[in-house]
Amino acid sequence: MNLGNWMRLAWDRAAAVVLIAAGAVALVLGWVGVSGEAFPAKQLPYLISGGIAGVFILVLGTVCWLSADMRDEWTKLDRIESALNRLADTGLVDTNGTRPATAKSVGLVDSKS
Amino acid sequence: MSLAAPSPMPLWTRRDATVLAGLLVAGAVLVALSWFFAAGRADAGDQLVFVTLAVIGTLVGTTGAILWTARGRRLINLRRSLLLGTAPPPAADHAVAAALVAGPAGKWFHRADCLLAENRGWATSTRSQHEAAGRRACPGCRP
Repeated sequence: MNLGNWMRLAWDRAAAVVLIAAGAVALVLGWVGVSGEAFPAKQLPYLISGGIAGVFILVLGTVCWLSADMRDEWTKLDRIESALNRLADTGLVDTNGTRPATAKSVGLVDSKS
Repeated sequence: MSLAAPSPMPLWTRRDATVLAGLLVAGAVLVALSWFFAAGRADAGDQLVFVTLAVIGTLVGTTGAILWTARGRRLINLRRSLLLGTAPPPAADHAVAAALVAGPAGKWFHRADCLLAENRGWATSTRSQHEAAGRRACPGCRP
């Protein structure tokens, strides 16, 4: 799979990589800016725009990456649920013991959302 | 990698997304305003309040991220336990796991292999004895 396809299909991970790289660049630029100024009044804006904003962007990237992980896990659970339902529909097994409680049936998710 | 087809049931609701977006935008605005006002002042003492404001903005955004992640993780764990159940402990651990222990003044009783009870030398009692002493099952090891 080439990079373009990967970025289209795994957009959330691509966004995470970009954001984490941007956060790291902001931190480095902040450090460079602070180290080049002699007066605290000139350094503090770099601390905000480079240091604190860099951390903020890193948090965004981390959320994107963790969200992608959780979406993948949720999709796998979808597959497991449909496989269990297919198994129950074959009539070859005891339905009471096989058909799973679904996320929707127990109110875990709102079907309208 | 998110290569799978989109799930028919979304993990997060629109409300979750709204809360996350609101907190992230609020945090980002606080950081941006802090930088804008701090950069326009000549005295470092006057700028410190804006540094604090920027830190608060980052904390606001981080709070949104934590809420989002915690909700997703909780829903996944719940759904996984509904679909797949809880794995039984390994056979070799049955004897240890069956023993229920508690501290003398504790309000929870635990499985003997619970991380909260490890290496404490607590006495073993039956479930009914623990319950008669007013103790409740540990929500961590769920004896």
